Amino acid sequence: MTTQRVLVTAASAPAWRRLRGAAARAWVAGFEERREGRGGAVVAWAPSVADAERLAERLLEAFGAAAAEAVTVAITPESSAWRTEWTRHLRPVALTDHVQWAPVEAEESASAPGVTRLCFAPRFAFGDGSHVTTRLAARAVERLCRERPGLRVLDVGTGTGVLALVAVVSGAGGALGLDVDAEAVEAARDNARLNGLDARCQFAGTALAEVAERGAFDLVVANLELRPMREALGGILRAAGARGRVVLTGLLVDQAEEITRALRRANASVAPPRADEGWVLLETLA
Amino acid sequence: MSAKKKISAYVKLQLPAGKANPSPPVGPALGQHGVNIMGFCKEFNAKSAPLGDVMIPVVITVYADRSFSFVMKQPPASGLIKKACGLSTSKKPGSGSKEPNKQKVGKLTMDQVRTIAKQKMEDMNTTDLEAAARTIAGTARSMGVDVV
Repeated sequence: MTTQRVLVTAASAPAWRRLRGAAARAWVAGFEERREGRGGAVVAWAPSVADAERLAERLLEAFGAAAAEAVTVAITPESSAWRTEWTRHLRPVALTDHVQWAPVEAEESASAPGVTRLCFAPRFAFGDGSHVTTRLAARAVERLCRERPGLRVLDVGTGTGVLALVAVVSGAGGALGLDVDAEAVEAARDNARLNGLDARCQFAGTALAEVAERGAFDLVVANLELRPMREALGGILRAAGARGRVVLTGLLVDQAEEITRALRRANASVAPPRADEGWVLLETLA
Repeated sequence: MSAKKKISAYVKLQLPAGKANPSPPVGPALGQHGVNIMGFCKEFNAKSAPLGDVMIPVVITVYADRSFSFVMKQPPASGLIKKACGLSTSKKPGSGSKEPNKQKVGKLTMDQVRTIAKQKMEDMNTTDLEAAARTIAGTARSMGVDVV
């Protein structure tokens, strides 16, 4: 099915103000605003023509009286370019000193000796290597896996599977990556196969509570936003048990304090936080 | 982000705080400009989640090299008004009154109106708190919220 674009235009300044207000009330998933002359347009997208028509109806209802005279509605198919256009700008990234993370279509560059190139197929899954938290976590995972080969690693919110894959090429015995998003699980499995690592990396949509037997993992890593981090923290600590190490990132500097306190309450000793570009990595000590 | 970088586009979106994902509107609005959609979602969600259950206007600057930066504005006055008088901010198509002059859906005190005005002032074309408060009170009345 082709994504449909719903574009609703108001020509006058007062109608434009009312239109923005109506869109904020009716289009709760969000919308784009475009100024045009004295008025402007609001834009939203829907998976089918029928859904697009429903979006338009809701907006006109929220606009109220005289909507028919004040605004015009246009529903047109959106080009599918947005699904892939952004992937053309991805470049191979040096995740660590030893691992390069490269979009599968990027040209193979001469990599330095001792550098492993891992490939991924760009999808709507987090972890393309461009975010600083991916690099922070990859470095910590690599260091811990190199120190003690054979670790069992759990990656919570695995996205593209990047951290699980870094773990196994750095010496981990095996890695399990979990994600609540089915597209991410599929992407991570594809990426493991792409690199011939699918025997040592498993990925699943299973709930953390179901795999997190006490102390089942030597290293648990999670790159999550604050809200899911709060929810997952109990399961993460249980999975690591008393002896496993925990590496957490995806938090802003002012959010890390709360999670640090929660780790200490659970009797974990926490290394001084590492910060980069306003983002923090927390690591528990053995 | 360096101010010297060449700008290729501005995109203005209104998004529910903390809940951006690659499906529309974020995907189509930013993807066609080559912006890293997942990267934007991560940054926006982390920075907007603490603002609670509100719509956040956000202006994204897209640079020629496809990197981006963004500025979040205050939530629309209607959202702040609904929040202040305890109306649902996620009900479709909104929880204002269908007949604002007859059917009233809530009440705000002038103090609450001033608090909202203060919050919105940086986005409004005035430095006069009372003028801003009058605008907010007008918006409230148009939604069927009495100012008492």
